[in-house]
Amino acid sequence: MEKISKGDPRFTAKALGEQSEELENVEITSEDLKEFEETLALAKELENEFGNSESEETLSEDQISDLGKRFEERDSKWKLLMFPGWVYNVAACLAIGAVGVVMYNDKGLFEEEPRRPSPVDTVAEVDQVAVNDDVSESAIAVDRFEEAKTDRDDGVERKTEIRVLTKEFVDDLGVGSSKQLLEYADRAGVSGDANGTLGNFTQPRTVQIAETEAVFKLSPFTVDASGGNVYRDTQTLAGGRMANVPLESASSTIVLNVPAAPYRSISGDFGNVRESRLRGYASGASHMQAQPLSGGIPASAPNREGYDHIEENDFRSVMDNPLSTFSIDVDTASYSNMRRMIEGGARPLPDAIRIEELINYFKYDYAEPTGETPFSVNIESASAPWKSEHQLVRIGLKGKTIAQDERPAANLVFLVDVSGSMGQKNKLPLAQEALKLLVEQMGSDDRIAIVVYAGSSGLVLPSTTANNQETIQHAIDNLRSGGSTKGGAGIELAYKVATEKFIDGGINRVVLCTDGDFNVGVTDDGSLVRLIEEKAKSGVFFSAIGFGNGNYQDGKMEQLSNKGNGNYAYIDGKQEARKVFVDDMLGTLHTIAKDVKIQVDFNPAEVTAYRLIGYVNRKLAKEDFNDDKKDAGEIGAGHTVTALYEVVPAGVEFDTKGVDASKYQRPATKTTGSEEWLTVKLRYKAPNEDVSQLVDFPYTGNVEREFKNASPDFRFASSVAGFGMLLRDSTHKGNLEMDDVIEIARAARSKDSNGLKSEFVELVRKAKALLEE
Amino acid sequence: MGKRTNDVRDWDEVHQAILSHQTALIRYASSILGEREGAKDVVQEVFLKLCKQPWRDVEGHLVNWLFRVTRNQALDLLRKEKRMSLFENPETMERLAGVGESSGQDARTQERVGSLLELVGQLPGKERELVTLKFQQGLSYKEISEVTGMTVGNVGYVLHHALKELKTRWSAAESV
Repeated sequence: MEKISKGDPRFTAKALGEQSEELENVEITSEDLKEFEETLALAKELENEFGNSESEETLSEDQISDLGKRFEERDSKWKLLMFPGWVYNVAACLAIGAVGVVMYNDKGLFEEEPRRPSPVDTVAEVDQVAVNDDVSESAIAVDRFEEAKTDRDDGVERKTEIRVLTKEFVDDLGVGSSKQLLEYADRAGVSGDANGTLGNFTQPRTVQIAETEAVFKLSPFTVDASGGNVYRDTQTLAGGRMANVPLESASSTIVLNVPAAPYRSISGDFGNVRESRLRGYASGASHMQAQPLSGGIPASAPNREGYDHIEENDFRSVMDNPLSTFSIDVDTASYSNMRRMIEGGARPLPDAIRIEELINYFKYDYAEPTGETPFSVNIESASAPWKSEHQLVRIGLKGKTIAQDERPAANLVFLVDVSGSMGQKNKLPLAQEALKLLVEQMGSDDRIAIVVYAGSSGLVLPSTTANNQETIQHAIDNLRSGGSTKGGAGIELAYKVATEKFIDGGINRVVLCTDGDFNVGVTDDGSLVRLIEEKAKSGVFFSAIGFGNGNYQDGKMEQLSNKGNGNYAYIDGKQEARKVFVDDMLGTLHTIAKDVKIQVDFNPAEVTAYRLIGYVNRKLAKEDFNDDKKDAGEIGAGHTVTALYEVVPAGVEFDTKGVDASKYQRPATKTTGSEEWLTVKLRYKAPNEDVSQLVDFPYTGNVEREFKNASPDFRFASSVAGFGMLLRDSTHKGNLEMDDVIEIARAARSKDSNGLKSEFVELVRKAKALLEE
Repeated sequence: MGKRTNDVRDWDEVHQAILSHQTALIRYASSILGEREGAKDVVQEVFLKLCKQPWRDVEGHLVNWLFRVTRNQALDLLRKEKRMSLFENPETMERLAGVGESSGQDARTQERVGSLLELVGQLPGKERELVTLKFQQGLSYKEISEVTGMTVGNVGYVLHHALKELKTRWSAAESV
């Protein structure tokens, strides 16, 4: 006989009279017998109370007669229940392992008397049918799906989602069965779970499965759906990829007709083939088509990393576009993420490379600011190493350095993802180390709180002043992973704590630590962004720190931190943790200027064309420069921010791509007496102000200046930019080769106190070997 | 294609099902929703679905089917509420997340049906649901598992916690 104590769930099962062989072979330990009696008594009492309280709750007569009416009408509906042959194929496929959940909007049930006329924004009337290995249930799913398809002419706008979860996805979650998955989904709030959802389309939604449809089966992929907002509004949804299941002769295609969506792309890791992308058109429907997959299920581990597509900036003619406007970016995540890929022996995905983040990963030796402007502006130019007739112009900003003891007090709330996926060594344990390093830097004026989120969320460390080192370290040590991710409640709580302990004039920030699977729900991404944006206005900023790999959602993380006046770092090892949390902590946490925008005004007499290297996602319309309502990047204490332009000097031949120059427009001739190449204009706001300040810096370059004579910082930044261009296979890379990058970087790595520049050289060597494979 | 696909029951049969099961289903839906009125709408929808259901889908397991569909409907309703109030109402979030003191508010607006039931009403959503299935319907763990899609082990785990919690609160209430 096995003895069990009161902590064992079998204890309760036995008290409740459950019958099973297992329970017959266990007995309650003698010290818990009293507790057992109490449980028995409680169970009896519960039975009684439930039994006695049987107040006759029934449907009203109206409701029942409604049902009767509907029953009479059902004949017209029966034809929907005649399932076409492929339904059974669906069922057969599902039975071999795929799990599908079809969700769609329930139609108004009572047509004569619509009870719930849904306005557009309450698109959440979703019916859900779990399709597991139960054939009859899959039939129900298809039946309802058919209804949803056919019954859409009532003028009520709705949303339809097809949601398909796969076996692989189930495995990836670490749940053992489809039932557990549904249980997981319930906990995570199914619809609030970005994973496995295909499609998030808010406008007239015909979702058809083509006639030839046999069946579809998914494995991990990513859908990027950009809602047409110029200012990065991209949702990255992790999910499954459609693949053919060769049943009979049919091909499997899902056609999602999504009118009025300016841009949609679908990308993914197709087995070992890298990525593939299909785009819709600005005015028309976009089609997503399943990619045939030769081997069925991909042999490699599922890769659910999501990256937004990056289209490189092209040269722009100064005559047509004299103004170039962008927001600064101090993020560095792309660099460490790229490093992780190369170290792991994989060629980085081009869309994972944001060149400005590579350049800004390194600190440059720019002058300290003097005077009132909180940052210095350092402009330098020399010939481009990849095209000597072009010039590179570097704009380097350096934020005022603030001594540790002059730093304002900090009120930090760490929002830590403790979902099951964080259990890996390079995730939660690394996050814990990083947090401890940070806590060591803090003093009695600073406050730290920790909120965790997973299946449930909670405050594990109330806001505590940082002189209680032991308490805090202990709380950090006790973080454990387990459960599913559900970010919504956690982030709400984190902001609540941060607001309660708000320090006027201090550093108030919520810092998210996650592997990126931030499941607040597809439909709620917008609300999340709004929340973060709104809180940033109230002075609580937001930072995101990414850990690990596999289901890392780069695009979403970057977007969230941008909206929150925050920064975004990716930590791939202890050294990086030290860099972010210790070396750069002040800059990372202490913003000295916000909404920093740069507008470069080029002189057409001196410059024919220019190209901004990187900052693709940070470009602004020229009108946005003076618009204080337009959000932009922040600069922290001691931070350096670098931007490079490749410019075509006047007199150098430039291909205008077949567009004839205007007959009437002439370059401003030297009559202006100006030989200035350009003027760099900057707008910024003090951290607690809403009105921006303007500063400008005219610059005159020298076309004779050769690259080799430029400053080491200039040359190093150029080599990093060149490396990024090679990784992205840029059309502008000219004659640049990896060996050139290595040589330039090697010669230029001055003041490399933390060894990161030397590490870069090594990284380029490895990348070179990878590319040659 | 199954022969019985078109086997339609007559209204009396459906009506009989309504009379026999409506009360239990309403209770069950309320245990998920934390309130009574929405529960009736949910149950009406469930029977509407039954009207439209091929007989072979429910034959032999009508009761299970009713509970399962009730559950799906009720959860959908909750999700809808959640979507509309996400970030506006942390309490709803907490209730949905099944954490914290949860549905106390909703439970309090209900009629008082007895102290212990009141305590049940204050349990987090999932616990409340399972306790209802267990003690009102007298279902076994396995039957609960069939209705909810949870594993038997998980059912046991949740009920174990629910009872522990109830016991603590009960004895606290008794001693007052």
